[in-house]
Amino acid sequence: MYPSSLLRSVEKPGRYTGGEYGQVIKQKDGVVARVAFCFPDIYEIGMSNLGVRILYGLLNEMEDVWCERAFAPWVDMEAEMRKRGIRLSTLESGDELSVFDFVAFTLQYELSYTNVLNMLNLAGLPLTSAERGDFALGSTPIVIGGGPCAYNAEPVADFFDLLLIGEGEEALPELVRLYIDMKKSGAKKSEFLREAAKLEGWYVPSLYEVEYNADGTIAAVTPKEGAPAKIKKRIVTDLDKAYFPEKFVMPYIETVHDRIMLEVFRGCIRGCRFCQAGMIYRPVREKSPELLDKQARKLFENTGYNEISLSSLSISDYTCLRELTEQLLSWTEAHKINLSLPSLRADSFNDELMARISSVRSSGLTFAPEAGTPRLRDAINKNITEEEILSACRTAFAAGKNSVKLYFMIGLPTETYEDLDGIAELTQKAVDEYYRTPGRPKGRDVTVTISVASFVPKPFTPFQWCAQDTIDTLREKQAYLAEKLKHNRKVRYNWHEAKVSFLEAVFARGNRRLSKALIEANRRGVRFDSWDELFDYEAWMDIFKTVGIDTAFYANREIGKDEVMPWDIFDIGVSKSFLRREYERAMRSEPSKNCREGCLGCGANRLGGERTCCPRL
Amino acid sequence: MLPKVIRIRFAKRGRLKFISHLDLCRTLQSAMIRAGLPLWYTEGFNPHPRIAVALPLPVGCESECELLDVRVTELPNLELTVKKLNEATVPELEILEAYEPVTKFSDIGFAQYEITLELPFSEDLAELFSGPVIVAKHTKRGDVDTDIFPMVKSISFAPKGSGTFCRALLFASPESYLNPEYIVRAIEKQRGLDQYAFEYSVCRTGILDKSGKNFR
Repeated sequence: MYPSSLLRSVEKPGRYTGGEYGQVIKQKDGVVARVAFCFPDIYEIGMSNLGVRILYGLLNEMEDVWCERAFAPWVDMEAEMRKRGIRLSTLESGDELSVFDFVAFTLQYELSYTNVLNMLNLAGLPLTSAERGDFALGSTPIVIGGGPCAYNAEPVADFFDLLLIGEGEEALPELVRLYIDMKKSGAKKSEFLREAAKLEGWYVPSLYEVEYNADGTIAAVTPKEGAPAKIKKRIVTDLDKAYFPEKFVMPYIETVHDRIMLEVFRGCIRGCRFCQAGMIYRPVREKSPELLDKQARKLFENTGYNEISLSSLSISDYTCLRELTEQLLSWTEAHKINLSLPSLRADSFNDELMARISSVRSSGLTFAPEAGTPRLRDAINKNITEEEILSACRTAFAAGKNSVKLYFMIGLPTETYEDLDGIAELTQKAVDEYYRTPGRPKGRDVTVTISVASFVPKPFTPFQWCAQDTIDTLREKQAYLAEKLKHNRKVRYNWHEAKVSFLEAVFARGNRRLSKALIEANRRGVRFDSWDELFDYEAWMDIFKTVGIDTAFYANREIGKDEVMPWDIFDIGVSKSFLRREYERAMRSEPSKNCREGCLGCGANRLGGERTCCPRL
Repeated sequence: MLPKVIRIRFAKRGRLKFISHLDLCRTLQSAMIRAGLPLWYTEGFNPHPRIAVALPLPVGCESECELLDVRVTELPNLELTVKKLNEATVPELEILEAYEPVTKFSDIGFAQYEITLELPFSEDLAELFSGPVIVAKHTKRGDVDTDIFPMVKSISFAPKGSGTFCRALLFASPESYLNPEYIVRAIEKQRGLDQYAFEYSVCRTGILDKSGKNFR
């Protein structure tokens, strides 16, 4: 526990106290492996992550393992810690990260990479796997990572001993089990890593040699010491049989998602061509409504939360949504529990669904047309019509809402200024729809909020080959839209800072050469890049210049069809040839079927899976 | 059906001192749901339980005597309620007693505090509180120099180990309320020390009514 005088001097000390109801305390000498589970952002964000809760519960189910939590201290706390020479420790035992067997990071977004380095630094640990050296297991932590960014964690590969490609419910206990056996036999880190590389899903970056061509592209990636040429993504085939926590750690301070999160299914049938989650989490695997209802009841008893959020990508694609909501509503209303359904698709949003969620409190409704014209929506495979979007707005208005939020993206491949005009026109149509809807809230004006993000090309998507628009182009497009919308007082227009999306693109498709930029950033005290108030574009440009990185190579370059990509060593089930087919259809503005309408042969069914819509092999 | 009110006396110890009043209310609410208390909910669009805490405790202060009123649809077994609540919360938030209240929170007049300072004892501490004590008080208009002496009912200092022990009885009514942190601020000022320059702990040990008798 940090000293009181330290905690008195920082904002929101509840971030650092721990001691919440539901936290797990074990006897140190009763366990063999201690895991410091680190979320590289502040407590409020990290505690909102369902994966953290699942893996925390799962590891602590193992008798000889104790998993604890650590988060990135906010800047005021960091300054105090550095001033007083206090190192980063976990919330449960208050022990410094350096005494743990594992320091495990979840990599949820590229802009948290600098926080990973800063946390290692605050823990007094050398940044790279090489600098931490070889050692007897137990004397220095093994630094591991996982999560969506692991699918191309090459920019941070040098800092990690091990990275997990895929889902952790089975892979993580397997790794820890191997560690415990080898620790007991006095093995060294190098021996452990060689063995770990044989486990499915585990990637040992130090066992791969990367060679580059003169133009900076990758010539070859060569595995060493028996490491596999391809690392196959790990999935849990049957989610009904997978571990799911029955209780949560209950934060004292308010977090971003302070509620029961019920994971309904994994994967997505849609295949939007810009969306990484839609590809890397394939195949779709559903949980059964009976089990979900049981888990929700148990979680309510154990948490006392008054809100249940059904969590998935595109929740309305759940085949048993009606059964599940009926089962839940049969008992949640009596307990005044709200049911929230985030990620609704506009084409599924009808009066029936509205009735279900309006019976309880619900915040504003958000739909994501993503693009302004049918042509571009076809090119990105959004598969949604203007009528469906407006009909969804109409349903919301008729039920008494006087605001909706629409998500768009600019800079998408094949986009023209006609598509930007389309965004403004569609927004205006949503406004008009309000005044045409009988039963709209009387005497109140409508607000249509549009939130416009910039396209970031991501690995393992059909758009992985595409260049990102330059910052200047994105800004011109943003300004063009602002001009079109500026006289409309019923429209609120938000856009993302293009410089942030640019940095995200650099790291998203980055390779190992970026690690020196991250080291330099850490040396200069750069962190919390995803926080607008701390994001420092000029500092980053100077860092890239200093270490000799051409950022346009990563963000603004069209990658060649036959070029070796840094993430080619991972097999996520979905094949590169499928992604290329989808890319080519996009260039012709041709949509594709979703998984339920017909299998496109993406390849994910090779991984197996229960309650999926894939054809069996 | 008219709701009934039960009063819960609880302690807030250790690191819980860093949990703000609002966060504590949310924590207690979920604990009461976990404990299966028959909570009464407000009518309307956004039903919520009705919870009132007697004297919201400042962040950084511990307590052995917090009081909370909560509305229930029926009176539960009170002994069992204490047991179930303690199972539904952490040891640092200990439920001490549950009963039907006969007094109103507006009858409260004073609160008793014990302050332990990691500062050597000296006689001039008592002198500090023999006349006007000016500290910078946080207000909506910013820091305002205020004399806190009229809000100190009684105060005493004694050596404790290498530090100093202080017992203070402070005004604690809606008309006049003194945050015990200001006692520490006054001492820091007298000694010419920065804020948070030394360790200290503050614990509320009693709530008294306007006539100075223990408030229940």
